[in-house]
Amino acid sequence: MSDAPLINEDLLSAFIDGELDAETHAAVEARLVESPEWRAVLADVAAARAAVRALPTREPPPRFIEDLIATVAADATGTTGARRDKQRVPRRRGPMRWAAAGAAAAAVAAGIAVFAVPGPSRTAPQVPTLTDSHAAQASQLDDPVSQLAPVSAFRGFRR
Amino acid sequence: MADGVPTWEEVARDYGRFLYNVAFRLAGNDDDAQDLVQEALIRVRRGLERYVPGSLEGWLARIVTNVFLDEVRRKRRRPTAALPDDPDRVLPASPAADEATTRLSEGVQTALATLPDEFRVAVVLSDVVDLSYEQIAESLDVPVGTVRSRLHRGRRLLRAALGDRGELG
Repeated sequence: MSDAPLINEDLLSAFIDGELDAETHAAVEARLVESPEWRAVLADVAAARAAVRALPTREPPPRFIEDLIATVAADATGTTGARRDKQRVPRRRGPMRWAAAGAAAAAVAAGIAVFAVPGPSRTAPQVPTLTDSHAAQASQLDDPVSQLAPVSAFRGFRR
Repeated sequence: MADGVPTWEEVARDYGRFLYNVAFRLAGNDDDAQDLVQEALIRVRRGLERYVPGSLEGWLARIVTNVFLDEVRRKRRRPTAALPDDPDRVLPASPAADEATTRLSEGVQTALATLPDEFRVAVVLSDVVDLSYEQIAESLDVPVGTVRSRLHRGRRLLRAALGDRGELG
């Protein structure tokens, strides 16, 4: 009975990663010499490996890390008064967000106005006062959308 | 930093980019990557006093991977409807990257996202984080043979996906 190590195709990735002992490495090398199928598989996994290793570092959004540090630090000192694991870093919004927020606010205001007719004096709270107040607050905080929404739980991945 | 153990702020500041890159390769989009990094750093804060100086990147990669896998399991238990992509949250490509490189990177990332989660984790930990098979096995609490198999099958599937997309011919 031969003492040669048992080898299978799964070892080909380990072969190019340098993760095989000398004896198994030699056995895989010998099989590669005689098997065009194994050589083709080796070329495939080597190409995939190289493609992933060549990926550039994905940078976080500007100030994401700084905002995260500030949020957690503020929570640790009790500044925010929220549970640490429920506090979320404010997300920075682009111009489309501002437009969407404006459109949403206008739609809400219009909807309330329709339902308020013909008795605007019964509308409570006063919509104009609220929207003015929200606009002023949003200008100061530079983020109108998150001011409309409560802190939310981790809501799962997109796919 | 005391006894070789960094403070939480030092970890967040010095390794935030590393965590984000791993998180993005696992999750496949910026929104989920941000959630993963936030949860990972919260776990780092809780666990830093138990950290034994060694490979900090390996330890952090294990944490962010576990956050990812926890979320995958949670999602399997309670599937949720996918939300549409939010185009204004997609970051612009690095100015230094030319168009062809950017397109290829996006193709590889898209192909990576098609892999089964267990395979993608093995590929990311090996080829993004550059952990050894033993470190990956320890991180995932599986035998080294399982890592070897998942990584090899993951790479084969990835190569096939890249071929289907015409990325590598």
